[in-house]
Amino acid sequence: MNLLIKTASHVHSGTRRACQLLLGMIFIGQLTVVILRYVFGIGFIELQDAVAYSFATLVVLGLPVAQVRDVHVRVDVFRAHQGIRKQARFDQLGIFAFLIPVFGLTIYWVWPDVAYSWSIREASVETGGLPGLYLVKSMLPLACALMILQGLASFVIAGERAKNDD
Amino acid sequence: MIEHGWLIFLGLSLLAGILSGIPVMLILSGVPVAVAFFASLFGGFDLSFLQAYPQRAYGVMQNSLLIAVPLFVLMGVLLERSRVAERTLMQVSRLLGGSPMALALSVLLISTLIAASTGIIGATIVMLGMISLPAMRRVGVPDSTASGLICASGTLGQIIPPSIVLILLGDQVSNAYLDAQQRAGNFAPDAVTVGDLFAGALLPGLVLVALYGVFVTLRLARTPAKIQPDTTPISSWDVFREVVPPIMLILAVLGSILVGVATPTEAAAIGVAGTLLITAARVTSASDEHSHPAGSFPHQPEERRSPAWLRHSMTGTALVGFALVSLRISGTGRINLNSAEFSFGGGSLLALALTVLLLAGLVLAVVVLTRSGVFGAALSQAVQVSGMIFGIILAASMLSLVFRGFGGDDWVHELLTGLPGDERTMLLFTLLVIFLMGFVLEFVEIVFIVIPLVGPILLQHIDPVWFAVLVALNLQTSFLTPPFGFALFYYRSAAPAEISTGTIYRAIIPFVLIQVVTLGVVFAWPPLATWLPNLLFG
Repeated sequence: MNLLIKTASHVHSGTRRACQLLLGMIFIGQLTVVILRYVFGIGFIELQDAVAYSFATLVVLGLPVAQVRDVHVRVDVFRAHQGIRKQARFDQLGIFAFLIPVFGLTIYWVWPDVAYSWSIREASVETGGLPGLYLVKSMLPLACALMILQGLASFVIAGERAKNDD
Repeated sequence: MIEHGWLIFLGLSLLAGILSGIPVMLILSGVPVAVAFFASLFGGFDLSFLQAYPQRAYGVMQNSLLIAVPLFVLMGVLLERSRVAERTLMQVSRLLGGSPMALALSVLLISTLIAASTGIIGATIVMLGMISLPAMRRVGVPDSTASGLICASGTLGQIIPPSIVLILLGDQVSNAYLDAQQRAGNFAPDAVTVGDLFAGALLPGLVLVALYGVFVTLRLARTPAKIQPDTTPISSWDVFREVVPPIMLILAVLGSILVGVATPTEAAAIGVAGTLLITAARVTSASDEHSHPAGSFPHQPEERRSPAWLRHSMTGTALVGFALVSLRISGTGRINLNSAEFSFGGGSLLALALTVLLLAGLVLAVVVLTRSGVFGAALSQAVQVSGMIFGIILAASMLSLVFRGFGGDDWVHELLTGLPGDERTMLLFTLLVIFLMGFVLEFVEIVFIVIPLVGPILLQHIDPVWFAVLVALNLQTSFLTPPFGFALFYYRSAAPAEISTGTIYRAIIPFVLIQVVTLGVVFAWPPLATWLPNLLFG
């Protein structure tokens, strides 16, 4: 259990750093595209693709980061009046009944797509775009796996919270 | 009705799930999947529908319009952390004199500016509550007026462009509009862009601000100041350098979209660059928390701790940026590397030199901000906020998939076309549903769930920009309406306990009425929303 929490927390700090880097790259890349286009009159499709790839990766990798930091929106009309124990049990229910099945199934559904994408080494649809779209597509199942890992860790932590409250 | 039993079951399960306090993202994706599997046991659902989900997720990941979202979030977070808004508020209220009315009006003015630049309602309301409420109470603005003003003007970010709501709406409305026009037999409709929506929402948003202003003026005209106004002279230079940079930033971002030069994503990148310059010029004061404990309102302008040379180079870099733009507009500074007749004219050399200066200034800003830890923290927070937004978008696409699997889109179609009257009745009905959904869901969910369902039917006859502006105004109103308005929850979390929830609910009523009036005006008189986009984009 302890190992799970430790691993999850290491993985989280890695994911968080990766996301920070990706967002920084989106900004720098997009700004460069703007300057090149409007000052120099050059279109740079590879760079625009790199921005798009970074964005696609950020979209899904941001999910586990938000999960760990507990910033996914909740409606706390009732939650605000619940005790810690009850809140923790609801958190566990959410992870067990929804998070793990949904992200597990997504991996299962997306697998054929990703496998096919790898087999043809799928590249960007833009002419003159970047190769490696199959790597970007692989980010979806990867993010799902990370969500499940973080979900398991939160499940254990919530369980301890509920126990300590007794 | 009974053939839609599964849909009703799905709806009720969703409502129960959302109210349970489990993250909305997990509910919106998990409950539909669970219901789908359950229904499939009884032959009520074809599970192969769900296999289309990865394609929808990839659709979100590869949607180039959405790239603007994390960039605008980053811009908002940086502005919030650099406390540009606070300083501006302070200076403007000093300039206007210390009367309650002056302070309330300056809060309105500043929130309009922040609204334009950040557009994250939760953050704006909490920040306004922390920085402006203590000041307003001290000067003698009644709690009710202050609370209502903060909640109402904090939600302006949804309607005043550039707003994230409008970007997401633009994405959904333009898809729905294409679909609708094709169904109506028009195979070459004019595309609706985010720029159209920005232009369309601008006038209604400003009308709202003006009406809020009139109300506050009437309400506070005779309220005496509780404390002697601060009479220390204030140089107009001080006000100038606090107020002008944010205004220039907003003009640059909004202008480049409205003039049709830049896409929202490109404008967002420019916006982040400008924000970095503004933030770097105030860097040290942004990083130490103790100089500004939550809830206090500094009397004297804080010392400017950023060294003068840094501030000057940031100003210089901004000027270089604007110089580049004017070169570009005058057409002299374009360096065309692609053309064979490549020449080093005076204009081209100048543009090249300016670009180098601009980049140097930006790199300096990033280095300064990274060393003070502001940049990393802002990136981290922006990643979390975007993770939250995209989580909801991905979950909502799962919900709409399952909804279609149960034949829900046909049901909505029947329901809408079965209504008595013309498309205005359909529109009113849709707006009412959205208003009610606004009580339990955030705008992202609603936009991504409702627009794809009703848009293809409604937009066959209704102007898409008008529709989008109505939806945005309507959502904003919904967030303000007690007892479930989101804005009120955010404000509750920032307001001191002695302001009772009842006071907050009563305080917001005049503002909700203003909203309803504005909504009615836009409904009755569509040109208010459609005139500007037509003028700008033809």
